[in-house]
Amino acid sequence: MTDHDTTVETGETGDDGGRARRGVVERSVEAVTTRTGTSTWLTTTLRKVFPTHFSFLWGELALYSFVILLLTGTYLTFFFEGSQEELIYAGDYEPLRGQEVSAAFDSVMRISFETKGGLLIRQMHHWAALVFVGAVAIHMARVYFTGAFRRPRDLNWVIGVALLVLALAAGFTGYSLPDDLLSGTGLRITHAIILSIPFVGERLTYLIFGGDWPGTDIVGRLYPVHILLIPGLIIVLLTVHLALVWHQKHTQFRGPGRTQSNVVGERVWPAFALKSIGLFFLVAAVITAMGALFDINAVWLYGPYDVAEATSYAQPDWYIGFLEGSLRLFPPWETRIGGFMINNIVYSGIVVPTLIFGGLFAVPWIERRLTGDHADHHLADRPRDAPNRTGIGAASITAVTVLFLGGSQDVIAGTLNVSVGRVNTALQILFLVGPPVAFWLTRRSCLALLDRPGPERTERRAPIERLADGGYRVPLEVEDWMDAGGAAPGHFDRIAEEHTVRGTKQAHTHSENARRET
Amino acid sequence: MTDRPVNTRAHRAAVASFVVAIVGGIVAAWGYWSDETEVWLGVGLAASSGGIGLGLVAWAKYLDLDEHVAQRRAPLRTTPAEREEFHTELARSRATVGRRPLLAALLGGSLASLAVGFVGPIGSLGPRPRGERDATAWAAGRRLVTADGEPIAVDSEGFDQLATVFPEGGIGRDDSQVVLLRVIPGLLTERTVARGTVEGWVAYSKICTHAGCSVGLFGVDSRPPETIRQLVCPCHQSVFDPVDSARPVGGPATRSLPQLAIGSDDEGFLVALDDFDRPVGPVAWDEA
Amino acid sequence: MSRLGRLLHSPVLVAVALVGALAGGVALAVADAGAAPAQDGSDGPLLELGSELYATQCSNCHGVSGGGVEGRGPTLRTEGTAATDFVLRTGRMPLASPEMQAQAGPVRYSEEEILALVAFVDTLGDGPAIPDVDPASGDVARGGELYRLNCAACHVASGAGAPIGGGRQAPNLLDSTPTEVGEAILIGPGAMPVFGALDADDIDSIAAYIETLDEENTAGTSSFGGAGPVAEGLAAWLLALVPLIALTRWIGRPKAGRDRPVVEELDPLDEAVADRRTEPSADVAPVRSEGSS
Repeated sequence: MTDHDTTVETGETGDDGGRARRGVVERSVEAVTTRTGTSTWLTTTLRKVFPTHFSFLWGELALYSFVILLLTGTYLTFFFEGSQEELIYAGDYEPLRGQEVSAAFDSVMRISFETKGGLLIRQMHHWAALVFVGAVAIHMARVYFTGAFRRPRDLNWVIGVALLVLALAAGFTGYSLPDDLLSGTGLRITHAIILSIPFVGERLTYLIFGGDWPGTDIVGRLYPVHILLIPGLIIVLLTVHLALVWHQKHTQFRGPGRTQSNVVGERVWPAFALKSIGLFFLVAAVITAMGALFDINAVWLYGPYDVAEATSYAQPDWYIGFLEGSLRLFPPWETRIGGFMINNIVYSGIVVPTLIFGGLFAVPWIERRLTGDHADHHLADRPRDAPNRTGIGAASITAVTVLFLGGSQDVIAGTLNVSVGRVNTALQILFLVGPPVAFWLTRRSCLALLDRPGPERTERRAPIERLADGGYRVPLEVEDWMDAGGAAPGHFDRIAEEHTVRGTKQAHTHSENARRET
Repeated sequence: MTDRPVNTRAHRAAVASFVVAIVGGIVAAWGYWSDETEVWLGVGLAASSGGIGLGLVAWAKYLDLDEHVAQRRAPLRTTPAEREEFHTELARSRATVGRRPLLAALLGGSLASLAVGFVGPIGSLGPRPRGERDATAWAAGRRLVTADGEPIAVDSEGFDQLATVFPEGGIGRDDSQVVLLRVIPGLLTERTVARGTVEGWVAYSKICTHAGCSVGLFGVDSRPPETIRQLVCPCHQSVFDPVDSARPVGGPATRSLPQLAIGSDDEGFLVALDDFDRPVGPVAWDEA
Repeated sequence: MSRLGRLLHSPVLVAVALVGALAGGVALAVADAGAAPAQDGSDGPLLELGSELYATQCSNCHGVSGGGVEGRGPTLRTEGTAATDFVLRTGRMPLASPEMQAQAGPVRYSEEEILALVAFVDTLGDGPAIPDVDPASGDVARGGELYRLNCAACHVASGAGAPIGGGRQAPNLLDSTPTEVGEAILIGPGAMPVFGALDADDIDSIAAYIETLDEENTAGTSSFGGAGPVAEGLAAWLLALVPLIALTRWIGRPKAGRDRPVVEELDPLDEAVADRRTEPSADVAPVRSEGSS
């Protein structure tokens, strides 16, 4: 009962008022729980434990950026007009006055120059999108490198990759809405990629664009996709994603007292909730500061999309850079079969992204195939604990990074004052050579780090005693580690087998891991 | 657990953060009405959110809310007994509903038929292609005009020029955009000249054959020692050789820009002799 | 007749007067001619300076009489004043080595020297003259249209400049004067083509538009040098994501749970709650088969 009192006391210090205020809050909550029979559920929820490693917060970065996107986006929908209807710009920005622009472009100009605070919200929205996809990427990397995608969370991994694809789609449709030269060029490229699809390409472009390029429909169609269809799907999948994390409980790193069958960390209320809500405000603060201080996507400089115009430094938003790099770096190959053509952009625009995302979706099954491990895992690996997995991850990141660099190859060439062709060749070579080198280097580093004495040998809670006769007494703490659980039997033994050549010390460390994982 | 903060420094940090947040909100409100709205409104809002965030975290971190609590994790795998229950339940219901292959097949058929019914409305999203890709607005005798409608005289001054032109009467049509160059006549290859050039004037479709961007980048430097003459597309850096039928010489493009055959008319202006001999821009899969 | 009168009527006097008038006229004429050379003389020093400078600074690559030197520099006989003015005022000339791309840089000549060289090159041959660019009489909106149609592909929509292949760079336009813009359009310096389709009005408009690019026509915020989405992506990572990751490190635990021992046993309240529950809706403990239905 003492613990129950503690909860009450926490409530008391949490509110800064007298009994009257506390009573109201507590009574309102009780009003709901009595009518739904959820009082115990609520108590359990407040006491639910979450592990506290800082990398576990990166998913929340993504979640909160998404919330900012929803809030700023909703505000923008009150001003944006999703139509390609032509009108003459007559607004505040002088260099475009008298120009023929679409209603969409005109509304974005009005938001930026005539609505007080509009430009801030618009820039916040765009910066939030860049941060959102970045947060999803580092969250995905964390899940991968700690092996948290293994059973039973492989289901959640698939949902997560689907969320990534939806995030990219949301970004692409979003920045195409202002109908400016830069995003119009991007749509042109998308049109070409769809056109190249065998059998159905041309018909598909006519269906999507409402006719031949450029047509007058595409912006109007992207608008409901961007504000309704994609956010709706994201919200549904995100809810399932979070519900699964909630129900399956978060993974945790190995440590004293942490086993396969418990969760050690802090409770939802008050610790986790306060920090989480605080993180939301901090994400909001960073995004607001970015929106206030830095230009992004200055559509007035690009002007309205016009079919014969072009600009250099024509890149999409950063997260589409891998596709841009694929299009730029892929050698000029095409396949002619009789009267039919598999275009160059089929390879660079369809095959390469399919391989990337197919690989991402298949990660849990590839892991199962390569390790033969079908057990449930609730303990997170340190990256070094799975050298092959980490190596493959490093190689994949290297390959994708080279693609991102390829997407900005003209900016790189311009900044370094070298020819674009030379940058191209260097990146193409790097794409082939980089990943194997990265794999090998990473794997070696992991193995070398594993060789080091483990924490049970370096982190002591009780000091080593020096005895009067010059000897040492080492307190035995190994048993603290013995009740950790997790890996399938044989998992670490397999690694130990591979490396017994390096000596018994190596095998010893790994079988200690294995012993820990009952 | 006491009700006094255990860490005064952290308590001060939390207090300071919340005070900053309050000030930030006021700055935001004032900033909205200032001349530089975006900056001051934004900075105010950022300071306000940041203050709240820092305050909450400081509150949590330092007011003795760091805790390590253990909670049981229930196994998520189902036991064989549970699975057996599920299958038994299914079997029971199947026995009740009964196996009716005919009904099931008909249900499947009706659903498929319903789906087929929707093909029509989906088709309304866009018309059928009607050979729009087979022809542009160019035809024999059409003058080359700038975006303002001015024709180009054959004897305009100077070489190494660049202009974006359209057919007269078809200004602004995407598929008819043409890049018009003038180079020193002796540099043009035979097959380029054979296709149709006039005193060093040569015209190509401006739509890149890689992914459709406008090839607006004409780099030309005929002064020694390094002579370059290239049409570059700014999207993916495909490079075309303007003196040799715009064939691709670099980058990912695989086919040359279609050349527009040009001549001069009686009044000394440039005219097209014919439409392009193949579809412009990136091609569909059946246009090898 | 008085002595003076006889003198005034003497033929000698008439002759002297005539000769005097003639001499005066000739003297005046000579004086005028001398004045013209005196004007040439004010050009004269300029041309002299120009010729001197040319001989010492330029003839090495461009030839003693401007005919060009194989492998070093092109002929100047078709250049004209616009080209000369452009390369001198933007610091492109003198070029350290013929292999380099001429790029804008520090101006090496004083105003007088530039005028001198321009005047001298003018005497070598014919070419486009320095245009009279008046941005005030140009139409900014039209200039923007023309800029995006003709210039943005190489110079970027923001005027930042970009590489254009062959190792060449289209330069940043934000520091260019209207005259330089006009000269460049006329002569096509370096790898830039000549834009013969643009007339004087077009040039005025484009110059006016480029001037607006130079201004802070945003809400006073920074734009990363106009390099577009690549710079923005880099900024998102370095200025937003990295600080956010640092913040999570501050909020959460850096060490992977190894830092402190577990303080409490499994909470008795958790146990009590777990035992009490029999509905499958509970999310802490699953229902074991022996308890249900």
